[in-house]
Amino acid sequence: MKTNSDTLLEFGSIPVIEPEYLGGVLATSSDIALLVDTNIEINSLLLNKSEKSYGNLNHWIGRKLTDFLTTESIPKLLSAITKLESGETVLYGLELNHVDNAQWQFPIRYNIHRLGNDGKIILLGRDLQTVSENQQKFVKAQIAVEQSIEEKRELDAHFKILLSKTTDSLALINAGSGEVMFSNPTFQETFFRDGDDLENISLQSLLSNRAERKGFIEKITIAAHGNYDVSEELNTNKGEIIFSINPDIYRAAGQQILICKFFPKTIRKKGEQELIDNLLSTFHNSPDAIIFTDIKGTIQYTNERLLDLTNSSHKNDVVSKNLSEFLGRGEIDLAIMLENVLKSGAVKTYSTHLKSSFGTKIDIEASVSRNTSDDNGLIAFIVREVLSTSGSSRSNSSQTTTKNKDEITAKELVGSATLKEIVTDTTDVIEKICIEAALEITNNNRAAAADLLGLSRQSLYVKLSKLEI
Amino acid sequence: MVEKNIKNNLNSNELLISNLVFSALKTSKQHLTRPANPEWIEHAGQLLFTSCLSKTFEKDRALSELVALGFKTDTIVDHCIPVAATLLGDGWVNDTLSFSECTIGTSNLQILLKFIGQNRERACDETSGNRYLICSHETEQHTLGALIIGDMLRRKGHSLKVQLSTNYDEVCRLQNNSHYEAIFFSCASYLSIRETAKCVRQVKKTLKQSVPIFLGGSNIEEISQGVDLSCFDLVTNSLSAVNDYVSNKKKRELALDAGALIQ
Repeated sequence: MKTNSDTLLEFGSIPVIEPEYLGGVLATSSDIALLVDTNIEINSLLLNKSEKSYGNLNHWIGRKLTDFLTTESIPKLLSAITKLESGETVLYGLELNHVDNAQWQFPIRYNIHRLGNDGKIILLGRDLQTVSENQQKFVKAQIAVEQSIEEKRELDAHFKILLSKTTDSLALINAGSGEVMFSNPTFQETFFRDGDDLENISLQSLLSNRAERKGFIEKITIAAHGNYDVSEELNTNKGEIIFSINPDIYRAAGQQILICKFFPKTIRKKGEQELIDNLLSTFHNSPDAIIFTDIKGTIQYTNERLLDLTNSSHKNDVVSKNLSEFLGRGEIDLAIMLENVLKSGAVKTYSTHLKSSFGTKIDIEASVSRNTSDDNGLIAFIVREVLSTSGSSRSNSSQTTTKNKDEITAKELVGSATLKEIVTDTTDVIEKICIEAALEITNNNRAAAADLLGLSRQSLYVKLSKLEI
Repeated sequence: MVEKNIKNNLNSNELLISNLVFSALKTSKQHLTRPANPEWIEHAGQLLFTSCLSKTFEKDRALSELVALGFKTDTIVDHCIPVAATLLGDGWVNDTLSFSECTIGTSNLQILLKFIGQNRERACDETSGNRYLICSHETEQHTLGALIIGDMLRRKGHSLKVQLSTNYDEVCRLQNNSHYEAIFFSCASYLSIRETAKCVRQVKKTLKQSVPIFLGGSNIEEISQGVDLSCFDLVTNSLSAVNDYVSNKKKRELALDAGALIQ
């Protein structure tokens, strides 16, 4: 019986308690005391007189204790009783939730003991109602907080959409520090490049004239209060541009916020002849091939670099020929580039091969633009050689690092999944990467993408569906 | 010159294919390593269980511990937090934890979940996915499940309204105003599942247009015994089953519309 004798009082150290006093001891040392038999039937019930909230529980007597427990509490009680019956002592407190005709619930923390060998069990309970009420309040408060976070999320979505759909350059600026707190995509595209860190950017840092940066925010704030616009020259992606800044001011969370709209006024022009000279010089000295064709792809002008790349000896060997004759995938490549440039005005990057007059292939990347929308306007191709790492500018050390990283990836994978899983998954990923690349190259033209991949259109559709592209 | 070019071309192709394969391996690694190993998830769940009960619980530290073990935040949300929550529930059932400790522990898990959600960059354009109403009934005190489902669905590009501690009137009002494509209830207790089923029966009777209503919860099989769940269109914990159900329903409706137009 004394499985944990160090935690129990020694036998005989407590005098025998006479029955007329025992009830009082039990009733006052607990809030509720239950005497149950082997069938878990309540034989007797004692309530602490100071505990009025339970009311009259005399109807529990003669009924099973499990009738007055919530579903999840029943297995806990049965498990404790099984332990007692097998001779173990239940030293931990048993938290049970009572129900009475589904009218009310209350949690009690019981100590459970056997009274002798006749199977009688006594449960001495401490009321946890106060703790439970606090817990309920806590849960309610937490749900309220969660709900307000969800509402904030909804407002955030509206705010972001509103910003992104505003076509003017717009920024919200802290009037104290000049920090750009929020800005819309038009503002970001005007003043920053992809990959620029937009954290901690201040409005004054955009000013072309550094000397004017001090006091600039004050100037804008005064204009906002005075309800007039300010003209300033700002640094943009396209150089220095004079903007008309339309500021307004409001307060939020104790801060003064400037909401500014930026309207470009004029683009500063430098000598046009100087520009033409520079462009001609770039055309002749560029390490990339610069080719002008008509809208059918017939080469009109090119610089010397194309001759190097195609192993041609004279400009006459290339001028008046169709560019497709030099492209790895011939007319398919040319058709894709021309279709996209005629549709959208420019193709940023297109990867293919260039064929030399000896039949060898060189990996290239081309960017294409259309100079005017006129049918007689020329198409400009800038073609650069993509150097392979084996003879390229990439250093040996960087190759080694990449290789090491790749090997680490492979080592991490091996062992954590079967070879079959790795191969199946990797094959799917490769298919996905290639199909996405083909769709990107063809500007989402599925028929052209299927041609590029050497697939039937039907097979491509099946793969698109399977890979969820 | 010719030889050199041919050689370069071959090397270039080999290198490109090799890069492609390693890129594919890297992508595969993200979803094959940790989640494929249940022991790791159990281990991480146990760690999280211990840290969410600590008096000095800090969300940043709890997160960085798991990230240092190689877990992605998505894996932490989808697998580790649910394991830790289950361990908390088991702790109460086995009387090793009081309900107060369970409440505090669960609350800390919710703090961690929120922290991960707030730090994740989310595309604000959620136009491609479905529109769901995620609910927990007012008799349900466990809201972690609903919030985890919310996070998982949002990551897949679905647009959601999460309504905790809701009731029949509110569900009808929201559905009539916004015509969600499906309603999802999360349940975790014996009492709330009965009340939720009762609420859904009323909702189904009241709404003029039929809307699929789903039920989910980590211990749904256990708590739903003896409860009439026929009012739910699907009782599942599989999000793909839910999404497939909604997509198929949309397709059927489109086909019916097309048929009606032809006639």
